[in-house]
Amino acid sequence: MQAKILLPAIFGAALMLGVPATQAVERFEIDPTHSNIFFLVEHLGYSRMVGQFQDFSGVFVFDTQDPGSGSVEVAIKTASVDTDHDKRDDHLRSPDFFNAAEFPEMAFKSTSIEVTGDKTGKITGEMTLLGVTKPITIDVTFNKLAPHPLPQYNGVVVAGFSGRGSLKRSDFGMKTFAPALGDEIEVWLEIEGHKS
Amino acid sequence: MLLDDPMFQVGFVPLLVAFGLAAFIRIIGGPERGPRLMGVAAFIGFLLAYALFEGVPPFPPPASKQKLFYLVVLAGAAGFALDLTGRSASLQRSMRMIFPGLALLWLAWRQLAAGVALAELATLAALWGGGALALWRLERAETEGGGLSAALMLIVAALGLAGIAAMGSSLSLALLAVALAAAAGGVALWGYGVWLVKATRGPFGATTQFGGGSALLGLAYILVLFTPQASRVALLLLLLVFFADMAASRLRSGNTLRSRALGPILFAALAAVPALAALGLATLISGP
Repeated sequence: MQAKILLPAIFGAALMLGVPATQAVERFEIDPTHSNIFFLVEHLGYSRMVGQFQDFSGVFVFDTQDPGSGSVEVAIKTASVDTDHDKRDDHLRSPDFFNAAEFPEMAFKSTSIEVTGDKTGKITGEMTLLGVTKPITIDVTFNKLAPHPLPQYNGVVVAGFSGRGSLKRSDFGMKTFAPALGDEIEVWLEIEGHKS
Repeated sequence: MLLDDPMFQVGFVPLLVAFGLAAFIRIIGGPERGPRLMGVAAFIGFLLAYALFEGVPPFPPPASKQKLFYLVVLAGAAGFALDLTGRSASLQRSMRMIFPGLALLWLAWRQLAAGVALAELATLAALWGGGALALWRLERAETEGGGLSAALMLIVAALGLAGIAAMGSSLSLALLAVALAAAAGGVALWGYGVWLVKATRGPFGATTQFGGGSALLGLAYILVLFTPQASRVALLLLLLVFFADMAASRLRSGNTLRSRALGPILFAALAAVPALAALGLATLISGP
């Protein structure tokens, strides 16, 4: 769940990695139709349940000359949690978990970006969930930065990243049925951003 | 491990702790102070169950469910102070009017500060009024039928609330309501034993009225304000539980052991009628 916030951060970091030197500082808006924020939660030790958030937005700033100076900001609507099961989604929106009526949004704001390889990096930032703000770090991989090939996109420059991270939900006060329902949440991010 | 089992945490632990503490306080406090202060057992039983199930929340608590813990601490402590000082009637009256409002303010402060629409104000006013009504009815039940009647009303209402919360997709709120019922049940069991053996009606106490009452109101408020899946109509219907003493007053009969044994059971059954109706309604609304 918290993974949603992390994904944008990862994208931001990726943008800073492996980008052609001709690029300057650019601002990108996350394209929600081609971006996904997934989370995986252990279910009683049997398997891992996969969910995602359907409604999120965010921007990242990328300087190809100085990737570490970039930034990422993401906001996720907690009520948009989706595990492909209506009753379970209602439960996830309740005060047991995301408490969507009381905390309709969670957010991530990067504080630093560390380049670790040609196309990899770590984005560290402040994640706010259930009124609690904690630092988290996402490993990101830069995939591609190029104009969109389809004509209807009018040549908009698109940046794509993948991210992986994890967090402990209990750190944010989401303790219901932990650890029977996993406390450690794995987060997978697949993000595309359009240059704005 | 047994202590990690949620049902053990919210069922067995508060029941056993409240029963044991009630016995301890009765013995240590003597025949005069003991029954008056026994309500603290339910208060501590609930808080212990909360701490086991949810953990002790941080202070200041960011979420309403965490705020509930401190609301109960404050309300129970205020009730205990009342019990210790002889329960001034005017102070108790003021507290039962003010406390539901304070509870709402505490639980929904962030939303209130952001501004509320007229319809939301009406909801808040209804919640305040409903809360004050429930606390007043608990007090009346104690006056008319003794502490056991009030405790049974609190237990049945808490179990009804647990069912509505479960139907409304919040199992943790449901289990906290079960913890409240179990904690009040521990004290009620002691009161039932005393009633059977000595035919003495013990007090409910301001600690249980405000500690237990604020837990019930807090859970109901969180359901109404932050759990859209929970049926508000069912919660409104649940308020009728607090009028069970009025119907039960017609059933009171002799003072034989048999009638004393059956009396509280019949009372609980009467109180359960609106609770079951509320649960049925919640089930119909929530669907399969």
